[in-house]
Amino acid sequence: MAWRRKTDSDQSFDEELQTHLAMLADRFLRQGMSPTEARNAALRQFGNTTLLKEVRREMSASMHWENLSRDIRFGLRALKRSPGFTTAAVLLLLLGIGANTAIFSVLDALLLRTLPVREPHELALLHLIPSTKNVQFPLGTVIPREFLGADPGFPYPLYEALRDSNTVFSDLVADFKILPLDFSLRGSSEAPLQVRVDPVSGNYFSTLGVRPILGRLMTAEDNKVVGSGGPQGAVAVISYRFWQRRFTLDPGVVGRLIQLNGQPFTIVGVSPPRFDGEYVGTPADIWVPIVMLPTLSPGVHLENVGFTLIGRLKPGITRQQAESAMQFFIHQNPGAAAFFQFTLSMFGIGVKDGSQGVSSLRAQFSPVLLIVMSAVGLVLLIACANLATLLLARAAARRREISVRLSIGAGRGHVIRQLLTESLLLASIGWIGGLLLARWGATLLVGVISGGASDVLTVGTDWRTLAFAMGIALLSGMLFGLAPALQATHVNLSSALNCPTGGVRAEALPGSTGIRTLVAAQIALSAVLLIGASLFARTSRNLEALDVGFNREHTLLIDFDLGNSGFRGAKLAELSDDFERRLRALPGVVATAATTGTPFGASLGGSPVQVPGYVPGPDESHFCAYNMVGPDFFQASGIPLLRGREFGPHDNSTGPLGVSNSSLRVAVVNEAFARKYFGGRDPVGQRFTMRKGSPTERQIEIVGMAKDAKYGSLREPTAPLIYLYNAQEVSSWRKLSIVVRFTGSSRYAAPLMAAIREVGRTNAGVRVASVETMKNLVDHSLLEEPMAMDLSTAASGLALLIVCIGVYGTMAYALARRTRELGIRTALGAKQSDIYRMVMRESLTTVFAGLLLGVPAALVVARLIASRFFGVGAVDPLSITATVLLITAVAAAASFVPAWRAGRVDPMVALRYE
Amino acid sequence: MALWTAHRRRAILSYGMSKGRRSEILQGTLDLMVLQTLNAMGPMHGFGIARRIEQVSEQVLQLNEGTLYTALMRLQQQGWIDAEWGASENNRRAKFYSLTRSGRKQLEREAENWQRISGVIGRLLSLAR
Repeated sequence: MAWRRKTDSDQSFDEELQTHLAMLADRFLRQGMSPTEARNAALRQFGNTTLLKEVRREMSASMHWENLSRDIRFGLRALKRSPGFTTAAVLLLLLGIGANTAIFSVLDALLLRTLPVREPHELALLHLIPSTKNVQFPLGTVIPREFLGADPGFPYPLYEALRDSNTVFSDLVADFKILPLDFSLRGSSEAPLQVRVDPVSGNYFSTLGVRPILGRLMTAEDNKVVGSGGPQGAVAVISYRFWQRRFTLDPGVVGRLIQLNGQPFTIVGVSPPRFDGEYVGTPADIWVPIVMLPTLSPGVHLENVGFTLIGRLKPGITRQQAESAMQFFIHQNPGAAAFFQFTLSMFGIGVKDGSQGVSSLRAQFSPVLLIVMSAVGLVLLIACANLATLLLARAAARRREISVRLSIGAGRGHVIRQLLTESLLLASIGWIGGLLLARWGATLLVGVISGGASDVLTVGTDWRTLAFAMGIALLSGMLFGLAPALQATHVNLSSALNCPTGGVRAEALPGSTGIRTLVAAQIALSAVLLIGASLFARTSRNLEALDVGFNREHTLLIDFDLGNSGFRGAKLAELSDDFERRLRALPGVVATAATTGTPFGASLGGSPVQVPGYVPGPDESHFCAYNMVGPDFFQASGIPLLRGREFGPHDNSTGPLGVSNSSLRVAVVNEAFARKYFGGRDPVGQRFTMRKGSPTERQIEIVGMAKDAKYGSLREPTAPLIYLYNAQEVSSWRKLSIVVRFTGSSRYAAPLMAAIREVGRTNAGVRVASVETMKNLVDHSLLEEPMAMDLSTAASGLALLIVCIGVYGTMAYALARRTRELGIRTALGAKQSDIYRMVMRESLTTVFAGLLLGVPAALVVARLIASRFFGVGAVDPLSITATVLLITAVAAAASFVPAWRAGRVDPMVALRYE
Repeated sequence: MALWTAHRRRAILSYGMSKGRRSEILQGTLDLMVLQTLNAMGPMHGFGIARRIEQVSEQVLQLNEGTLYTALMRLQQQGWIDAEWGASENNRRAKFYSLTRSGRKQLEREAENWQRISGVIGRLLSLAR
């Protein structure tokens, strides 16, 4: 019992007792006893001093402030005494808390954190809101709202007008998107490093209120003349992280001459740590003056690209006031209105909160991360239920210890506190370990959502993450510790103490119902997780296996950046021909075709169509999307032609073969078009009208029907689409993409892409913006589902493991307590198989109770997130059956070992047990 | 030895009434006796308190002297008594307990309470007869 350090106070108490004993002994001596007799009599009259000292310690523990450290010391010792339980508990908590915190810290970085700037809540983000109506242009062109697309950003002249004559912002900054550029030190021969460069207006840093950690930041002066500001070339400000990464915090970095895409710049300063621009998820390495944009990115002019605008609201101005002021300004300023006619006729200006910057990851990943976090939260809950089970079992084993402590005067509250201290000790170990695990997990997760770069999001351990981890650790500690503690202290003292071995008879098994309830709860929660995970797995599989209509593996897509090179119409067609010819000379290339609209890329055009015999509904759009493609498009993209023929040289530049009609054109339509306009009849040979009544009215003859191919979201049904022959519409060529089909291994894609980029470099004024395999484009549109599947599968695997341990532990414990009963049964003639059956029946009853609760709960949850599933409903018999079978099998396996052991109980041993 | 300990322990732990000749003491009762003793006799050490109770109870109550210390600790914890080291009659170093002000108030309350309850019990027992 000597598990406590002796204190001064212990010694003084001992002295007091010795004095008392000595006085008693004196008294007996005086009554005529021998010294030994007197000493023994005194001891007898006084009672057990050791026990008394224990009681004193117990009591003083609740008296002194150091009782916490005593409780902790005692708790640690109690945990050390059962290393198996402690290891299991710590592992469970570590995983549970770690996983939750990891996801939380990513969500924190995406959703909760504000930019590290002065008064972030004063920042407002200007954005363009697509019109809710179809847009009518003066020349008769109508653009339906579904073709407007996303916010294109503000043209630079509009920015200047807004900046110079608004009354609501104390300052307004413009910021181009992050450019990936080649970085090198001037005069060095090192291989160029790819960096993220953000061209910003001169007032960028002063408006955000960011101060340099070294040198100076950019000023409005730097942003006036192209290539000025620094001693040589324009100025550049580097981020702290880049300073650390590239220059290892060398203070001599200010004044260094660098090159970005071959253009000279001079580093003038370093931004403070943690500040890396307002694009959350795409941190900037280097900021340069916005006037340098055309130099850095040939073909880009400040007038024809969109900028992000961030304003700092004047004191007392709300975002609503700013928004109406912006709209008022546009309409009251005829110059501005005329100049931005095109943009402003399609979009309205909106003002939203800018305190958290701009992030594309936020919208894409927040919902799925929240779902995954709920899944991981469930795992933690299961882990808590599991620990509660283990603690209940342990509490039963510690009943005698607890009874003794209760009866010798320790208050029930004190014992509960002591037991809770043990739980909370476990929880705090879980907290610290979980935080470490979370750091690693969060980095991994950022890598997943950003497509490989784990440094794009700072997921440091800030106070919110610390508090969150601590909160869930404490909550778990209370959750799994309180019920067992309450139950444990609720004992009948005399019965517990009278049972000499501390054993408890089977029928008086404490917490047996509690334990079963907890196991059933674990099974119910795992059922929810498993059903959810299998729905995500099926969704992911359905999306992956979905017939996108084109060949994913052997198709490349080249996007061109025409900028203001002046290539359009016939000139662009010529460029395309020339380029395609050179592409076809590359080994492995089978077919190439120019196209304007690209799957998962540039948007399609749209025009009103009139199909004879088809009467659209009153609210139905007359519009139909079209794509202008080259002759070999279907072969190059792998979209099968179901009927009719492809375009070819026989379709002359104005009409179909042999027909001389200046407005008759050929088209291939997709199945959705045939379904909608011809009710599924063969459309080949039919005619329809495009843009009726406008100067560009066209009569179209359908020459073929192609299989439906997905151009946008995989989840949405394919819309009707018209493929026009680009050779017949040369004058309207505005943009260019080329589809390339190659043969051989799909591994050949990489060298081919490099070769294509090389070919692209030789074209003056026109840049190859991107070369991608079709597979990558599709996969990139499918990032959330596989992630949800992977993470929820991992979560449910973990849950199953925990449940397995839980069922095994519970059954093993329950049967160990019933050894005597089993022995009697065996002695009375129960066969081994009877024992098996009994044990299995008991464990399966618990399992089915859990499933009965879990499956309906899972259905409710699945209905809540049904919009995220694809090709599978919220009620999916397959998922449910699989889950029920899996859980039953796991539970049966987990209870088999205890059952087998129970069946082998030797009745003689069992009867002597206890 | 083990038996002896178990016996003693049970003696300390028992709440119930004994069928034996000598009554065991209810926990709260001992507290009240200690308070009253200190009130009547002034500061005393544990041995003295034990003797006083023994003397007053005329051997009717079985007092396990160790138990007395649990009562003393309890009372000290509540702030009803204070303790101070001093010298005993035989010049032994002993701890002297004395009543605090809140202890005196507690004694008044408890005494009143005791009177009331013993009155009730007394009436009840006389009615039953």
